[in-house]
Amino acid sequence: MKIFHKIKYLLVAIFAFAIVALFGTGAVYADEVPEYRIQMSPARDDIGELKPGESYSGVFHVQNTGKQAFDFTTGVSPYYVVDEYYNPDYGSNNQYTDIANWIKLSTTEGHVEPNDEAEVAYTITVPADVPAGGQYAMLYAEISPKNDSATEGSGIAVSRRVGMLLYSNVEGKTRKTGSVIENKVPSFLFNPPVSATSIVENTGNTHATAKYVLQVYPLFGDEEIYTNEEEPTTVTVLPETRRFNEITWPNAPHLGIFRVKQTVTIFGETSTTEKTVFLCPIWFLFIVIAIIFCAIFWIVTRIRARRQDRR
Amino acid sequence: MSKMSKAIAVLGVVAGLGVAALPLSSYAADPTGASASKAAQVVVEVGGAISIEITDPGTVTQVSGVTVANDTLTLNQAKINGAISKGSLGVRVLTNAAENYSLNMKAQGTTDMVGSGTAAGSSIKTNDAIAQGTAGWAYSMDDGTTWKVIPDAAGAGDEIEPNGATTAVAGQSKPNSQVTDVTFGVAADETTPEGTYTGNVTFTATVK
Repeated sequence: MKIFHKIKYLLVAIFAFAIVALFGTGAVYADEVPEYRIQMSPARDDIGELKPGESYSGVFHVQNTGKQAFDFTTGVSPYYVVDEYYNPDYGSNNQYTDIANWIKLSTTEGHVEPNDEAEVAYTITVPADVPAGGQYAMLYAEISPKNDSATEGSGIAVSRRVGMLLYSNVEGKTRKTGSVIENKVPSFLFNPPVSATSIVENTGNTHATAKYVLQVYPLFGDEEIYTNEEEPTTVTVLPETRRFNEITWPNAPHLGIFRVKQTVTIFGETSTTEKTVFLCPIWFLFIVIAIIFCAIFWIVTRIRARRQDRR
Repeated sequence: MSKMSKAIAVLGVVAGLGVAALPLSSYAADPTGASASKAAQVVVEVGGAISIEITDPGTVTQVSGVTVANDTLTLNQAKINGAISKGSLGVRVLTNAAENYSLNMKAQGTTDMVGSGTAAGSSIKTNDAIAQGTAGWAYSMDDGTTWKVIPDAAGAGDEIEPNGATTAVAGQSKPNSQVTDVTFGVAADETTPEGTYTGNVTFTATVK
């Protein structure tokens, strides 16, 4: 009879599961298409070496993935960074942003219908007497507020700009030097994800690529639980800058002990850090501590009770 | 064994058999017993891209009467020596780039709110100390708890970080499709002439 009751509940569970599996599919919501959305493609372009005294031509595309047509304007600005988190600086001029003055766009304004795109060509005329080294700019397209937008009361008119970062290197004697300043893996985490951080420095005069590989192993054993070795993370590091990077194991469980190894490579120099990472939610930690205290209290109480019995 | 129990037992068995039978139905036999096939490939190129759009705020509760439309955030009237008139808009950046993206904001032209109509020739200066009785305009990333001056157009601008904790996606600290809320506030005092004032800002999105 008891066995039958158990079977009955099991069958109810199977039936409920079947219903959910057949009809309870999760709803899928597509992103709502906005009225105006301006898109730039490509988002970045490394055009390689530029020869002094010569020209280079390229294109970018201004795409409309919104519901309404829009007018846009284009422009060029310098591109550099202000800190190791690579927050951009589109306003300052330095020896690495002269290219912003060498670029001419085929058009400074245009119009794009929904689901269409406009091609904008650019020409870089490199002066004959420029020093070798990296040159960086942002080529952008912008939607500005309509002039006839009436506002009652104070208002903020918002222009939206998307940029394509342009990386290049003027041919000549370049200096490619740099190093890995910092390579860290945390030892204890209360919550996922498991992340490793690093800082690399480029002391040369041209940009470089830094590569990051994260590998996760169980505490005992060498079979990888996670690795991005086949598709390592790569970032561009501008000359005379430091760049912070964080790489993550996105599907880490909430509890466990793992060996985490990060390998950072720049200019042929490799830095590897491997650590044992304890991943433990704080509430679990409290439970473990509470259990330990209870066990200690119980042991001490038992010892005292036995001593009293002997007396 | 009650009737209800019998009914549940039967339904459970039927449902279990039905789910188990689903994979078997995919093996449809060829009625003629003969078939021919040829492999074909579909190839498409997807380019790298980045986009930006202005929306209603995603997390911050919009003040009643404030609107976001036609690239303009229209605030409620700012009363002389009254409370800060504030409102929020959302900025969404989408990109298929593996690197993080940058969302930068700075003034377009002047950092002042420029007066028009009866306030033509007047302006409201940017001021991170705006308060009731202290005129100025500013922006906030925490719905008005702390205010920041509008960055100058000639400078580097301010990096706009998303609100609250974000879920890391392949190294990105600003996940795609998240709406980053920016709140703007305006306060007027007795030195602020009557009229309409407009501030202009530019949001720039690029990959990092």
